[in-house]
Amino acid sequence: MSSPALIRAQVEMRLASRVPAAFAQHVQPEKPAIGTGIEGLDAEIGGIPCGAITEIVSPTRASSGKTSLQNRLLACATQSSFGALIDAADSFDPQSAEAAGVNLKRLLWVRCSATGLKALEQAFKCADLLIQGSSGFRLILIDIDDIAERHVRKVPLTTWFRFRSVAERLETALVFSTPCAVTSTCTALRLTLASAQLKWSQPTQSNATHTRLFAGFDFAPEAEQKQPPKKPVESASPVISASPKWA
Amino acid sequence: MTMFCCVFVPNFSVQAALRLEPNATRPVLLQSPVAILDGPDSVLRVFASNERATQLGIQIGMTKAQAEQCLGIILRKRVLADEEAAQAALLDSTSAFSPSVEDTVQGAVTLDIAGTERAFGPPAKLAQEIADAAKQVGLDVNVAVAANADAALVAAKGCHGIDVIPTGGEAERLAELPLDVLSPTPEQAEIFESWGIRRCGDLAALPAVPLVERLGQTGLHLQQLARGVVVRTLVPTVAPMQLLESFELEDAVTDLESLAFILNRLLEQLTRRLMARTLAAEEISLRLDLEIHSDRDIHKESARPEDATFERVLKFPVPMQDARTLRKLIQLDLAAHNPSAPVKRVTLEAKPTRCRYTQAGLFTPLAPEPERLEVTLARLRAVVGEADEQGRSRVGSPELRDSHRADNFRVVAFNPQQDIATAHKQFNDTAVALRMFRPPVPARVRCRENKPVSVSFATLSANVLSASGPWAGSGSWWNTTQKWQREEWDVAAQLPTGIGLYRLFRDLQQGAWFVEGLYD
Repeated sequence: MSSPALIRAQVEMRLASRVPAAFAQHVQPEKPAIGTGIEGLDAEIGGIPCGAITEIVSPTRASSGKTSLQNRLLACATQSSFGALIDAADSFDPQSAEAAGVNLKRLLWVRCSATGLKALEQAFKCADLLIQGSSGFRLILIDIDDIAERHVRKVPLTTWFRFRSVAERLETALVFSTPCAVTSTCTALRLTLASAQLKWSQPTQSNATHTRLFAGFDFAPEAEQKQPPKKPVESASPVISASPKWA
Repeated sequence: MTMFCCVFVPNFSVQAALRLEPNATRPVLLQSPVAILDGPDSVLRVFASNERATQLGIQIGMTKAQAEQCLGIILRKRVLADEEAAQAALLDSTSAFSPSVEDTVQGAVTLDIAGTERAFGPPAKLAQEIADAAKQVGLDVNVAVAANADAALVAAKGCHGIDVIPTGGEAERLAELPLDVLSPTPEQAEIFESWGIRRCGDLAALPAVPLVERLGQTGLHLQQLARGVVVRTLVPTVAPMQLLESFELEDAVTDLESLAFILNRLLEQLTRRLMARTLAAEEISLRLDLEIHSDRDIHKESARPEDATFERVLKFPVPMQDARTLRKLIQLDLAAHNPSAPVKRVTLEAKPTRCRYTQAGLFTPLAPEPERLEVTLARLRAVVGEADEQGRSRVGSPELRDSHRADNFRVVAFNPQQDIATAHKQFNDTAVALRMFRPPVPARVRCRENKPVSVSFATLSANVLSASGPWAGSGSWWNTTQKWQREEWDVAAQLPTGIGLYRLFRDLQQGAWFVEGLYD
């Protein structure tokens, strides 16, 4: 037997009573994923991973499809389980969520009452309480997209690491919707959305505004998936269409 | 064959006063000399005492000043509510052992235990279990089992611990007990003392006819009690169950931490009583009696009576039995709604209901654990607040109202337990979401030919690329305060970060423009 193997065997033998497998590599068990409800995206990324952080990044104030994507996630989560939404800016619209198929009875909606940095603080406190206080939620969505970027960037990296380590022990998908990429390496999946392409029922040059209807938009989330080490980073960007209920 | 079990609490007033002491200190206090004072504050007199206090010279009727001369004496003021709660707790703890429980006298209950052998085993085992159950609610009891109810009561008063009297052996067992256990009147006791009769056996041996000639029928009744031959029908208690516990503080407390200890003791007792009856609490009412100082508002009129109490009612979506969870919920509620003055008395009342039994189904989604979820929801409410300006809760499940008014919803309590049979909703993968601005943001809109051409709100100012509208809407015209009328526009505006499609509306009553949300 070679000398490193011999030493390893000796060490393992000595530690056998205290540590059953001192040099064994800890393999994370396979955890389920939540479908996004978008076939193209699900085919590329395999859904939103449970037991990990997912980040949805989108520009503020512009229509990018992030809220529609959030509604689809909530709809998928509440089909078979329970979901929680921590709404830092109190911007969730139950009517459009129900139209998207969200089972509102299975949704816990936490509406933060402050603005700016205080709202961010409230959202993170609520996320902590929900993650640590009760299991049973398949998806916890923390929407801090309307918080100013300068405030979100102030969140220390240790906070994201803490969320990641807690999430790893749960069967819950932890999704942050942020105005800029801030979760760094703590995220297992990052979906970046750009400004969406609007569609109208008539050309925009037409003067008859009352006959023109908003017919929806196309948005293309760019997925950046962090796989286990030694695997290359994959990216995908399927095009998704969304339309209002009258279109 | 009839069989009765009597549960007797010796020194009932003392035990009732010390029942809510912590488990660690209560046995120590019971071994110490304790006297209970009663009467007006100016002339407090000893009403009851334990054996240790009697050994040290404390006598019933002593003034407070005289009692204080006794070294190491612990004096407590009598609180009738404590005694009522102790009696109710005794009834609760024993009701699990028999359907027929009689509230015999204060500090004693009698159970008809005929036919319970198959459920609880022999009488001695049952008596031990009853004593253990009473100990759980903070009462040290004597338990006696006899063929008739009065013999059991007399034996329970005279024994220490557990006494099981075989059928037919009542007179023999009661013979050695002192005459006090028969509760004679002072006059009768004096007569018996003058005759030299000090034990039940002595009284039982007297000839009946001369005894009736001297003491009447009451004397004969006492003799029959001493012989253990009185037969009567048990009168089971049918009084409504009241799960109420209260604690009066010697010094009023101002901080919630101190109050938490009291709440813990009361809740432990309440939950034990609930568990003894296999019940759970669906609602807890908390009443705090506050200490309002009369000289505080010297320039105002006297304080109204309702100011002196602070009441909160906590309703739970699922029945609860766990004292720790209940305490946490009450603490969080009190942190959000502080009493306005120091607290001098705490009263808790539970509304009982049947326990929750759940049978998890194969296709039932995994729901958050109800007790932990309730605490988490209370903590979330403590962080974000109870409700918004419109009175809608900040934590819960959204519920749409049947109305055309925009952003019209209410927030109901999140209760996964009610959702078991919810049908799956149809999934719509193409719906566009609206991101609401709550409240709507006032905007300045420049129009040309009645069409928006530029919009500015908050820190944004942009030209309108395309617009769709107007879409008129109105409602509640019959209500002057709630009627609304508006024109909606969907406008696409060019922003530095991309194109934003906003929903604007013009409030026709105010004549002002607002941004309602962003299609996103």
